[in-house]
Amino acid sequence: MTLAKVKHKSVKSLLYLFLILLSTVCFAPFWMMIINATRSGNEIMTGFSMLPGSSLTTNWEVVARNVDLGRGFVNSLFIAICNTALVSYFSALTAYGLAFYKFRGNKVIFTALLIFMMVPSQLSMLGFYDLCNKMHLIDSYWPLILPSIASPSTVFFLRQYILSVMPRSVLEAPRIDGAGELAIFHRIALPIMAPGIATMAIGAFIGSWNSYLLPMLIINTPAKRTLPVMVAELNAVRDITTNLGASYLAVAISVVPIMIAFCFFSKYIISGISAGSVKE
Amino acid sequence: MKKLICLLLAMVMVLSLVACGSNDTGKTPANDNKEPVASDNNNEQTAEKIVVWTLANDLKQFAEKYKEDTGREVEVVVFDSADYATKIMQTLGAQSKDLDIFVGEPQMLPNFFEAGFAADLSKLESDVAEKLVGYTYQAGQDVDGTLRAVSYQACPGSVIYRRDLAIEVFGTDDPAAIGEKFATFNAIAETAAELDAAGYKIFGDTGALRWFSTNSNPWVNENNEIIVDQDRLDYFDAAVELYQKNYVAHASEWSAPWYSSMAGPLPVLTPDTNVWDLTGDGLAEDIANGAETTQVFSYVMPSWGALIIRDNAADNKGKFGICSGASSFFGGGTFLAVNEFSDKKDAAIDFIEYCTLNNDTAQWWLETSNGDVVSNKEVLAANADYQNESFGNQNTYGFYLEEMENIDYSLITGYDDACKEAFGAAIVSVQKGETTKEEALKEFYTVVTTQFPELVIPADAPIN
Amino acid sequence: MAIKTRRPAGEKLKSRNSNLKNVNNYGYLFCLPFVIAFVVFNIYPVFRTFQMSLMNYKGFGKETFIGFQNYIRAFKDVLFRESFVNTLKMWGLNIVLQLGLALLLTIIFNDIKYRMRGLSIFRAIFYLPNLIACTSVAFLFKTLLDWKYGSFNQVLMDLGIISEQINWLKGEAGTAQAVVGVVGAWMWFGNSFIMLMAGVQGINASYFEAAYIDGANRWQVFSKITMPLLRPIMLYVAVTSLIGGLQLFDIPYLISGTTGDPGRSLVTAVFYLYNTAFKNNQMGYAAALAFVLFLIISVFCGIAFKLMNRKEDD
Repeated sequence: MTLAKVKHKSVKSLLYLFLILLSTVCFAPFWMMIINATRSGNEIMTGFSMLPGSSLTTNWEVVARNVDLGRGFVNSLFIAICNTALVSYFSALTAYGLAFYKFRGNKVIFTALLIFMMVPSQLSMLGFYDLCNKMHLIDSYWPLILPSIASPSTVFFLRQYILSVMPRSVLEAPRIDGAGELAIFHRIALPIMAPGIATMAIGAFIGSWNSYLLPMLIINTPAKRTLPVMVAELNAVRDITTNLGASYLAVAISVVPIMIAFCFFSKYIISGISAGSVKE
Repeated sequence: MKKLICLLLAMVMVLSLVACGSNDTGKTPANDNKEPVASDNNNEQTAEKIVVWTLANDLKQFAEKYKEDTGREVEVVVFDSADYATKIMQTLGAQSKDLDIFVGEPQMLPNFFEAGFAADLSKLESDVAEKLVGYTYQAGQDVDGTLRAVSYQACPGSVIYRRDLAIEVFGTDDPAAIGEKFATFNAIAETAAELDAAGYKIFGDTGALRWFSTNSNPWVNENNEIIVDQDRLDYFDAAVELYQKNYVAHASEWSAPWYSSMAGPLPVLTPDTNVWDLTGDGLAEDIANGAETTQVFSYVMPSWGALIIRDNAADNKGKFGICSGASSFFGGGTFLAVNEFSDKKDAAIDFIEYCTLNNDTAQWWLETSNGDVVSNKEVLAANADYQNESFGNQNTYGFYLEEMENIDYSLITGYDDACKEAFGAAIVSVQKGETTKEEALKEFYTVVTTQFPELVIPADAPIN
Repeated sequence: MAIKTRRPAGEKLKSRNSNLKNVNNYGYLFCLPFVIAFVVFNIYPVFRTFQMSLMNYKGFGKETFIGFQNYIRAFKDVLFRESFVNTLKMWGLNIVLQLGLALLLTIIFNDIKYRMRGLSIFRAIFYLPNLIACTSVAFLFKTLLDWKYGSFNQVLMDLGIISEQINWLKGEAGTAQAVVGVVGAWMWFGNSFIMLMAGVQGINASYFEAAYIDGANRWQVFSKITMPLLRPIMLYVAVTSLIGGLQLFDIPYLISGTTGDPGRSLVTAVFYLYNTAFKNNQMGYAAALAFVLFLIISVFCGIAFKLMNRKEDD
């Protein structure tokens, strides 16, 4: 029993050690950020500490004087939720339509979205701004929300996903029972697709939450700004050495809520993926 | 289980914030949501409120004072400088009415003018021409000579030098005499050698010389030729010589040793020492351990840079003087322009007039900002006798006023930034011994002409 | 490409529904919102950009038609070429680390012998870096790695890992590029890991059991079962990463303080495009660069598809 077992155990411990080390690497920058958010600019410049400092209040005052992070938080949340909802529902709808109906144009749409997955976003950005301008949508949230109805990569992923998890035969029984096509989609297909949708939804949420360039260009009114734009704006504050702690604090404030949210999302998504991976 | 740990992690993060913030914890963002998102339409009540888009917080103070004095409301919106010009281009390209006044640094202005974003300010022209420093007047004009932007600020450059070291090495700290030592690139090279022999370094690093790179010729002339004249070649050679002979302290602008050098001695650094990695503490230790030390004699900066030096001088405060260098230059500046598409142009012009042409405002800003140079000549002249104790009781405003008279704004072109950047990169590659001067100059031309194909390399260019 | 599953036996493939044609018309209804939004927000802007690419256009003022001159210029542009090479270097390191690490973790967690626990916890932690905005990531690394603040160097020296401080971002070109590559991998490997795990969990566990009982060694299980079954997901991850990677912009742009230093080494293709459009005010030319970039990405994707598919046929 002995030698093999010892070897087995030690390899296993090594593997765990590796995982823990990797976890540390993932977490360390966050820890440094949190610590530095509580220290003054001078303290940060002159040395590193594992323990929090005492300048949180001062840093907060600097942040609060310059930007209204609470407002940015609400704005970002609002946009991100709208985006997530639209991406999830309409991508699922389209994916289902492409996967289960044979109609003329099906191939064309599928090819077009494959091609557009490869389009650099900067390519459309120049024209996109022009469009929003013509439609008088600048400084409103519509340009940040509506485009998520058409998310080629999500549709692509979900189409592949539903083809692999949902046999066509599932549709037959309800059709014979006379259920409407939309009802079948809502009651049968949507729940089956849920794990795949969840994967994409969290990505969409984070993508929207973190998006910088487009909100920066589209939004003019300070009260409508999103969190990343506000954090970037702190760079415009003079004498960064006295505000470095404040900058850390602003970043921390933008990160911590999403981590908490992730706890709930990720539970759903991870158990969802496991459950959805078709136990036969 | 996983959710628990996740939550725990997040809680630890939050708690560590809270624990040390003592009383202030109620202000986490979630509690700050006074209003719902959609209720931004408060423009009804304040129809006359004008909106200013800017890069720095200065104008917020102006707006507060404006409200105190006139009762009129000005909303100041500050943007991150990195993307500011892009933002203006996109917004005003869309003929937005969301803002009434926008600011621009001198190098942004020609584009703003050409795009037709800036309203005609001819109304103010006679006052501006009479009252404000010449170069700020010129910078605010478009190609046809119409006034479209006005600045409350002026940013004349100078050499900021150590008076105590000047007396020790040169026997005088008179600004005129020291100015002679910086009059040409060749003079600078000689001065550097003299200082080195005395154990001092002329500059933090050779980047200081770049401020003098426009002396008698523009970077691009009216035939779209890229001009590298003898003066720029001298600049190139001087930069390489100073670097390779270690006449500079190799402390780059904005690095920790550069800041420390304002307050005291530096350990002798070589180009291989990575100044970006040193901390103030490390330097103090090195010096305490008896490392060989030196001191930096001078800095070349616009007026706002002089304030940085003053603020970091610590025990050296009062030991600095300012004099002119190889060319008179300026750097930066905040110009105000009225949005062509605004409905409140008159109100906007009134605010600009208040900020730039009102003597009381200028005097107030001179005192409030504690050393910023205003563009208002009358106010500068009125303060010409003011003895600045940070600069050895020199009459700094008088000096700046004189210096600004020498700035030839016609030498400024839209290609300056790109040219200076590429030229600087060429110098660095030679300094590090990565390439020859010939090759570096070729690379310089390639970089500039690739970005701007309309530019040409003249036949007499200093390359084969 | 599909996540493979086994269909229940006895599935009736032929539907005898007489309304099949009618039913298929629902496809239009289902796709309609997507198509409308797609045309308005995706196709139109690209069309407009293409139009700009044929113009001499500063981004403001007059547009003059100049045919394909911008494209001709793009193919001769040495700086664009240089920036593309920079992108490839940074992305290359990024993808090797990212996929390698994700694959390694997938193997560890699927090892039938060791039966590692704590998958969901580790998965959540590995996913953490993915949660923060590029602006924040760039700010964090810029300040943690940089000059006088340099917490990272301080820690490394305290731990005795390095004896001299390393100039991560402003020293050698290679170091700075490596930092960007590693930061990218740090951000994304958790994401790839989740995708790969989702793929593996689609594989019936009985395959592994059977292989194990048959005495297959770890390498055999990996190469004969895991890899072939993971190939569609790997392709998806690799292709999306390629598409994203060749558009690398935010991190190098922000981490270098918008300069691209040291010595242009952090100027990526899109970074160059951005500078061209907004710093040099050559909007028309920037639009052409965007199309050239699109062309290159398509070619790369085509190659990736070909390579992966061919292996599958073997």
